[in-house]
Amino acid sequence: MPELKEVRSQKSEVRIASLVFRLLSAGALVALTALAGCKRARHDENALVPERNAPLASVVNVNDPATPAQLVRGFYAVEGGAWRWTAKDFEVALKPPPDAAEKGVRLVFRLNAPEAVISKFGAITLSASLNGLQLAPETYSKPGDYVYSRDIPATALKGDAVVAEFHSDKSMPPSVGDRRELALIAVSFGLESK
Amino acid sequence: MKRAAYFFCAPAVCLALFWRTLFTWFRTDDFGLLGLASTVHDIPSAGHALFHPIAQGTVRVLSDRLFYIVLYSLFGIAAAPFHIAILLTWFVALGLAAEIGSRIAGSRAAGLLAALLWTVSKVMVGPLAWAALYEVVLLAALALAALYCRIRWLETRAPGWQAGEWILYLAGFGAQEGMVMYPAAAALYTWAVARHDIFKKGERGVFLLFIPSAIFAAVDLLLIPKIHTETYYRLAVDARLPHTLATYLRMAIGPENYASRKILLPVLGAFTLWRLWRRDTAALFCVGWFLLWLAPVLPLPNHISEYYLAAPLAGLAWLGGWALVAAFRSGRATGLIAAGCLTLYLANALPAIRDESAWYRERTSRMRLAFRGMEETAYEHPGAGAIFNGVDNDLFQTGFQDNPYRLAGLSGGYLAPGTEEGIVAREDLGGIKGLTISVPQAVEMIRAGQVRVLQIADGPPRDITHSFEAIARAEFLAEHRDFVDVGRPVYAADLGPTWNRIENGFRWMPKSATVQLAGPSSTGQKLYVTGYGPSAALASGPVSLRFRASGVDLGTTHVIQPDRPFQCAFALPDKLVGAYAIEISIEVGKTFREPGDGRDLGMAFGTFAVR
Repeated sequence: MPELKEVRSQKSEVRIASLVFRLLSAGALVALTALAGCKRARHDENALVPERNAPLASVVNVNDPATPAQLVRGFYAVEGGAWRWTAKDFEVALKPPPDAAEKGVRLVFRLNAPEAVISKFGAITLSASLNGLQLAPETYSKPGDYVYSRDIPATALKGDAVVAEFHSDKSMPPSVGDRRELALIAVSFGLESK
Repeated sequence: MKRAAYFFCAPAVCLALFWRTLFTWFRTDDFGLLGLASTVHDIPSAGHALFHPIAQGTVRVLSDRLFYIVLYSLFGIAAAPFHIAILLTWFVALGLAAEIGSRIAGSRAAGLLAALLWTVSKVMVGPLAWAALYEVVLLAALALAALYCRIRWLETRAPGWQAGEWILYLAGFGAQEGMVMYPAAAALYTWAVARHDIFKKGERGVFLLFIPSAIFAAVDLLLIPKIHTETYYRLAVDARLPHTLATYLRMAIGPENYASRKILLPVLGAFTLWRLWRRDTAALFCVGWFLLWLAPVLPLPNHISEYYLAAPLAGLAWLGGWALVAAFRSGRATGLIAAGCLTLYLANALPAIRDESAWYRERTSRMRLAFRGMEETAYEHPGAGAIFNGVDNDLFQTGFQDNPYRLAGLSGGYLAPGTEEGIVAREDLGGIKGLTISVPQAVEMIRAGQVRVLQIADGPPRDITHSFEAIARAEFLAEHRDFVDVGRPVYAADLGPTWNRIENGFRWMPKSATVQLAGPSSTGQKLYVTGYGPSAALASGPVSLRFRASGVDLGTTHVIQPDRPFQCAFALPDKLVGAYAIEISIEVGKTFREPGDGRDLGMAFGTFAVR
């Protein structure tokens, strides 16, 4: 049987708890209505990198953080700060140089034919097209650095950008350790005036 | 001091293990719930935001609604206050678990060990790292708090504790529906641990607790509409129940495929049987607690989720803490076995907690950068939407399907055309359809200033709107070289310099104009042309149209019918087959001028196609 003093103390504790609960509930409701929907838009100019004045480049180094959109598809992350693996099919967008519409240009792709692919699957044949114009393929039977270069007529160079599509006939298929399909090592792409 | 150390020990260990959760950002469901605050404008809308069923028909007033509305209103899109609130709630739960555990095992050391075991679990990473799972943390805290009040009431018979139990129990329905299991847990404790006869006068009050549960269950099942097509949340009371239970049991002990389960589960089972053989029904309460809180989710075989174990796991933690103390007290051999089991458990749990919490932090960091970029875009371009280039499946799964766009102030969000490949979208959330956009749509929206294009990268997103537009057009034209719609901006590069601007999906040509198309791919292909003959152009009689392809005359047609579409077709010469590009030139027989318009207008054209 609890002492009378103890019962009184417990009753008073319950009353205080009840009062605090009611006050908190009322305060929460008022705060809810007053505060909700009153937030200002957040502004932080460092949260977005603005577009450059000349957004497209005629020469794209694959490690350039300013031109990621021009590596349209088929590229993996930069490695060694300088190059990227490509998939079997990859695509790059380039801006024709100012005099391209009259003289045509030269498409230049600097690459490395990887030993890992050639030693396992044999010579790699690289084919390409630019704005739907088929370009002559080239075969690399030894690993090493190469330059794939082709003349492009002015008729294929309309608009602010052109799309060059590449296809490698060999690649390392995805594996358990690496889910990427690896074909070539890309260094840079360019449309050079003739 | 000693008592304070007792209560701070488990939270300190928790903080040491789960510190990354304080730096984890929002993901998936969080965005929908954060958006609730912006729907509150007055008392009725506040009522709707608080009580209207969402998701699978849930009305979690405390854990989903008030939690997000209040913290968002106070702090905006800042995750840290949410995670601090979650951790504080969890610390309360740990303190209560220690107190209750000490009563179950009759040992304060066992209670403390139970709290430590409960928090040193991979199961708790999700609930502590993902704000949307606050429901399970709050449920655990409220259920334990209500039970603690019951325990204190049983010990003191002070009515305040009974009132406390009822308030906390009823509040639990605002945390999660699982609170319906509390009366059974309370009754089980009263009988199995406190050893009271629950059918005796003065003890039968425990059965009153079942009334709110029954009412809540009836309202939830009968009155709140459920999405029956939901695959994940479809209820199935069938032969899969034991398998689901076994899966949860394995998950509770350790991460997937860990051998510790094969040792620790039998050890816990043996300890339970030993206590029961000693007629100690408290062990039954521990097992019962685990099963009772898990019971509501067992009929969800398609939605087995680790976080559902948060509250049930306390039962196994009490058992574990009790078993450890009993083993250490029984002798050196059992103590060594207990130490071995504890080492095995920790060796598996600690790396799993580190890896899983790092995973949450890394994933949500990328989402934070993307979201801040969205906010800045909305600030710089009010009313615009955004097209996202470079969103991979991991980032997409972190929140792109949960409409973070409106929350950031954007009018909408889309994935850049073609980038949706490889992304797995949940169909129950609307699939990928609402987020895809065609290249012509993208180009037209960019030109109209309706969207900006953001390149998602490792750092802050990059605005690539103009370069993207140029690339999209180039890509599109490279793929559609045998067709030109002069009335759509995306084909502008295929048109010669004389064409007028687009008007109502058409373009006027003056006296002469040119269009570039791919040459025919085989003999017999034709040039197909569509257009519209406005009455103004035909007022002085039919208009002749002469077509040439790369200088070769194709023929002449006449537009006669005013205010009607027209179409014509011309055979293409064989010598053009395979040509990369041919120039179609058109010449009209006469032009006219509209009053007030200085342009020479010939004819309005729509499309040109070679097929």
